[in-house]
Amino acid sequence: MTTVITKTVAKICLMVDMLYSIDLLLIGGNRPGGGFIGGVLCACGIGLIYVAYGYEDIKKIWNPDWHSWFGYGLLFASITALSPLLAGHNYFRSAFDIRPIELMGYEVGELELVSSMFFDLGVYFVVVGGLLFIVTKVGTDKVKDPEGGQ
Amino acid sequence: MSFLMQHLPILLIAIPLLMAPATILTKAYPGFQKALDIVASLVLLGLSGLLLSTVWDGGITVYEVGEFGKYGIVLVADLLSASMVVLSCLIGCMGLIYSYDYIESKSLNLTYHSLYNLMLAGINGIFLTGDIFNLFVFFEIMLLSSGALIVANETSTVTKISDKMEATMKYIVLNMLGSNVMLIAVASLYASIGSLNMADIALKVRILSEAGTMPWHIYAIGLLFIIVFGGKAAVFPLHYWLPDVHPTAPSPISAMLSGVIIKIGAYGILRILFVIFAPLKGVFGPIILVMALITVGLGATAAIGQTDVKRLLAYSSVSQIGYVFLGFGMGAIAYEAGEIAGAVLIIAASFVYLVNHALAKSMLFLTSGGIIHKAETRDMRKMGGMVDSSPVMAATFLVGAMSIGGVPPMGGFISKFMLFDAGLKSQFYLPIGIALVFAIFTLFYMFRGWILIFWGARDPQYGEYSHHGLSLLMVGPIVVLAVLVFILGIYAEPILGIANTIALQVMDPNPYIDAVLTRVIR
Repeated sequence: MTTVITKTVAKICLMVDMLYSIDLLLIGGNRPGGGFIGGVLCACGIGLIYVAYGYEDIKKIWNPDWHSWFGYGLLFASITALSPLLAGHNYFRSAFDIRPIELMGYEVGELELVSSMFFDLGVYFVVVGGLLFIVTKVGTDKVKDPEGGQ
Repeated sequence: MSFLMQHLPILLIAIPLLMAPATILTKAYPGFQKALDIVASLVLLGLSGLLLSTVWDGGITVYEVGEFGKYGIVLVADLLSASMVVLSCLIGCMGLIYSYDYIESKSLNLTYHSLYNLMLAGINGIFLTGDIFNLFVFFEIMLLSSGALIVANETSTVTKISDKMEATMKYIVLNMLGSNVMLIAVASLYASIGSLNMADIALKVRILSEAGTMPWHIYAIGLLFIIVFGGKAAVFPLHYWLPDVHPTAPSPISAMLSGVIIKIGAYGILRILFVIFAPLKGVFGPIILVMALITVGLGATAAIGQTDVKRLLAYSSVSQIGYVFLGFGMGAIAYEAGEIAGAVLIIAASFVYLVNHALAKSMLFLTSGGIIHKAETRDMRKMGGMVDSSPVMAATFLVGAMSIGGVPPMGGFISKFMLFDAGLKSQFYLPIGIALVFAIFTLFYMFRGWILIFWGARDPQYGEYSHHGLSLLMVGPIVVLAVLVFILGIYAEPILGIANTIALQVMDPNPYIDAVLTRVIR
């Protein structure tokens, strides 16, 4: 698998992949997309790098604890969902605002601000952390004796 | 206080969902992690009790998630949901306390706590949601987290890791198939009714039925739901996964699986077939009755031949859930025949049966964990004479065996007596006759197990019992549950009152529909 062609293509793919995954995350409020799909795409990109360069080599450069990414993402999403309670609203209530974007006195567009964006961000990290935790755990699993206890 | 009362239903789901990441992030501090989880679990138990008392005093509570409007996602806590939530929080809390000394510490720190909390969130969500698609979502949360918990390591394991993998594979794959069927059923329901809100569906199905224009596929959807919930509850043609999965899981997880998770199937039948498809329950009643009778017989007969203590309890679960479904089937038929009072009595009896079985069986699974700890095998033939070295376990196992077998003064006696009495009053002579025969089987296999484990003497070739008996954290939950089983037997008034009101609410879905559809929108 780890030919020069694979390695080069994987690098290029990673950049495009990351940009598109962030795009999907940001447009998720009202259009198709969102934290889940963006996260899956991001995890695919990083997974491709793991496959192309080998897990051991990547680990020397960058070795995050994917399990805690999962934890932080879930915590972030959970707190976002709980925060409307403090403002006197119900669980999961999203605030919504549209702000015009002005450029030199002219209105050039509008920006949608939704607080559920933070929830999507949490989901993004849950998906990235969860998928890559599983991929790295399964990928580094030693072959065990099928009949043995350990 | 008003804040708490206002958000009470969602807190039962939100707190475990918040605790799941909190216990991942505190994995470096095991003491703090344990304390945090136990406090959260006790708070959850308190909140569930508060919810039950609120619903008992103030009627059905509706909570709107996200404030989407009238047909948005709602949580509905009626008496059935609230009491099931109390049951799941109670057994969940006891199982968690028990796990601290039972599960291996590495397993416990890394994933056990977070998965356990996710499982609790999923179970509470299933019981509280008023939206049929959300029911599916919570099913998935519960299924995946409980599937992963089955492979958690015990401190002294007697189960091979390959067996655990096989059991998890069976559990996940077969229940995924069930989830698939459920998704098809939900999608078909949405296609034919045009709504996912349970109260709205119930109203529309009633209107269709009164107008006589019920489309034929509603019947097919009802059958699909019977497959889904029958699979979850392990009723006859779909029971085959349970006797492999429940014994292989670590004992606290077996207690959750047998105590709460198979009851989700029973809850689903009450909620979907009796509340949503209320006009059709006469059609499905005979099907449930026949399935339940075969389950009762099959589970009891298979349990007689078991030599593995946890497999015995698992087959006993199959048989006992059959009795609960027997009540549902008889209730539906009696209602169709116009005997409303009789049907209410039968459903109330089934609910009492469900609660008693949940408490007794989870207690028995926790006790069996202690027995395995001591004997270092699951084979009952290699045990014997354990009463000398662990009298507490002998006593609690006896309480559980008496309750499952239906011996007074335990809770199991009240529930069996109520069910058979209610059935005979509505003239179900043949089903009750069959059930009685297998009740004798139940008595036999439970006491056979007790005698094999605790009486006589251990064959010297299997060596001495290990010295590490039950620690205080393991004895506590067992004794609490055993005392509850006993109390439900000698002072059953409160639970009978609750069960009667639940049966009335289940038989007449109008208050449920009114509470959801005629509320003031925030």
